[in-house]
Amino acid sequence: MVARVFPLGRSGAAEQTETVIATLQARPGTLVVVDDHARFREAVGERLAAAGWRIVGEAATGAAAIDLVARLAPDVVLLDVVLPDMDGFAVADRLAAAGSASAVVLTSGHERGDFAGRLQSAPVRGFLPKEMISGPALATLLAGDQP
Amino acid sequence: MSGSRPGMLRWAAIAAIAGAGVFAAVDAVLEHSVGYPWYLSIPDALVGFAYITGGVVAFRAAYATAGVVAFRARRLDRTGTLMTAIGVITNLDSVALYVHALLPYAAWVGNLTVPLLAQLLLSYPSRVVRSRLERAVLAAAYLQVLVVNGAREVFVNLHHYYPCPCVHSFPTVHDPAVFRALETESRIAYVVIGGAVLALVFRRWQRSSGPARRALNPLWFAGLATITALILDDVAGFVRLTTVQNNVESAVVSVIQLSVPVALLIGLVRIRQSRSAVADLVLALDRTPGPAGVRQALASALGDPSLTVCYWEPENQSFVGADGRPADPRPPPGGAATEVTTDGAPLAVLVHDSELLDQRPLLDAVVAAARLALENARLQAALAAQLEEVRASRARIVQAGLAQRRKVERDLHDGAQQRLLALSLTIAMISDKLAASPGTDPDLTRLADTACGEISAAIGELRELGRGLHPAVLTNEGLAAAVETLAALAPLPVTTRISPARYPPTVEATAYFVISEALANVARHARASKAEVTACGDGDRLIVEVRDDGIGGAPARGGSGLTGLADRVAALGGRLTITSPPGGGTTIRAGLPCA
Repeated sequence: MVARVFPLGRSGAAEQTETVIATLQARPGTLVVVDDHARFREAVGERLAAAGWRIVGEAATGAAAIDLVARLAPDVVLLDVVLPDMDGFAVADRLAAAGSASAVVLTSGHERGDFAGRLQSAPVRGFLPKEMISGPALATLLAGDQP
Repeated sequence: MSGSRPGMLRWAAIAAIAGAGVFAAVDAVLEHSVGYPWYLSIPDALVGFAYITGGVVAFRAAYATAGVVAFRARRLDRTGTLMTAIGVITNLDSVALYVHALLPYAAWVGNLTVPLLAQLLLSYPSRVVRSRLERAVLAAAYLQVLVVNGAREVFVNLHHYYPCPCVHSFPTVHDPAVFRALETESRIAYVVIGGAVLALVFRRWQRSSGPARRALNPLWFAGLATITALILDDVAGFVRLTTVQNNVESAVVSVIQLSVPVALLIGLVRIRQSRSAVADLVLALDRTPGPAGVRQALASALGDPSLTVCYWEPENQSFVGADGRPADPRPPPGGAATEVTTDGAPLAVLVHDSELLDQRPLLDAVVAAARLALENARLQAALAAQLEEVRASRARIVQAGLAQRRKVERDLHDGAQQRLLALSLTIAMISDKLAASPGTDPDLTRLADTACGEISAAIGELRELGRGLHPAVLTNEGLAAAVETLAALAPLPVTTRISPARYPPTVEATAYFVISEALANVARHARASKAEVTACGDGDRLIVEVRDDGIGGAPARGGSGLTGLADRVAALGGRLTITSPPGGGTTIRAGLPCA
């Protein structure tokens, strides 16, 4: 399923913060996964790839995510709220400010209620608790929130 | 003189002085009625009367009385002794007029009045003559009177002075030339020593100031006047005066000399007044106890606003101030330190103006009156120090506890929970794949679904555990959002009015736990239809209030949960109050310092 893995940015870095994964899958769209837990990125990638998503990139930090999204312009960014350098809301704000057209979906191990009103005002398509991530759930969220 | 044998001495002094007083009175009457050639030569009746009454009776009686009064006043026994000695010596002069055998002796020691008076002025009220110069001048004065005057009396022709038959045991060598030389030397020495004493007393007066001057002024002025008068009297001896002039001059000098005992009595009254300062001090100590009150009371009783008190802390072997912080008992330049002991052990050190050392009686009385209060104040200062320490450590413990909870919550979320979440996705995928492939063992599908459900439940429990440790929403969004979440979860309508401002994490966490516990209590016990939560800043404090319309009657100290909360609030230097009249709802209010 995964054809090639090659590092970007810091070459040969033991601390690999971003990876571009070219998948053989086509539709329903391209996706960048942003989460500081490698094992979680892996699980999400597998699950959504199985549902037909093309995982074009992964990032472990907010800064790497902004850089990656600017270069790859994916259809969807699955963005963890809790990141080591900045929180997901700040990343979403920066992407929106940079004029990114990618749909941002926030995700977290915390519940929706833990972010209270900020979810309403953030420039994101929606929020998906981590354990709920699946192809259909993502599709429903994107379809439901689209005008 | 105080202590073991005051009774005998005092009674002896009183008896001697009473005798002298009686004698002085009888003497005056006899002199007036019988008369001696010397007195009969006084032509003017008024001057004669003034001299006899003022110069003899009042003068001697006053010295004697002032002496005994001073003698009776604690700590002035030395002054009293000197004063009494002056009175007795002047009386000796009169005694000698009746008992002629004493005449040379009276002439010999009669001049002791001047050194005695000088010693009195230079030692008042501190008992001792401190300066070396002062001691030297005094020694010279005594030497002059006892040795030179004694020698002079050896060469005198008594009949020259006292026209009466005189039989005495005093060794005499009548040599008018030697006598005249010694007399001239005596007069010069009198002026020189008198002048030196005058200068020294003036120096003492100049160096004193403030409260010391007030108590000492009368005696010093009287002393200066008297010594000046005695010097002038002596100088007058060089000049040939007429009898009338001589008598007037003698009367004036006697009246001036009278000012000394009067001044001593005035000084004693003033010391007594300062004793009433001690009485005021006792009242002040009673009114405002505590280290700060003690310092204030001592400062005003001693008239020294700069006074500070350092308490000895036996535990740390160091001095602390009223606030329990370390203090330095060494006096600054111009200051002095007075140590206060209790049962021989150090208690405190008063650091004060060095002028107060001239008011030893007042200082001693004040220290004696304040000793108990100082002991209490020391205990309070020590307690304050310990309390401050305990308070700080309690706050640190609570803060460390809260920080620990935040850390554990974050570790759970970042560690175990992330693994479980990843695992749940993987198992969900297994479940999906099993469902998608035909002919799968239904047991496998069931087991995968069970695993899925278990993991979801585990994630849910872990999330609850984290929320109980430290709600993520509080860290992420602040108190307002966190309380919104609580209100939404509550089984009754809760209205919230929470300031959107952010506060220090410890304050936010404590406020959150107060609200959370209070709302839980409302749900459990209050039988309320609604509740209201407010949190707003008030100066440098955050005021949190949870109010319900339930049955009230909550115990004032709260249940165990609320007691724990009250402890946490108190640990941050805040206060939790519970108002719960029966039937009137319950209000829990916490004020949390944010500094």
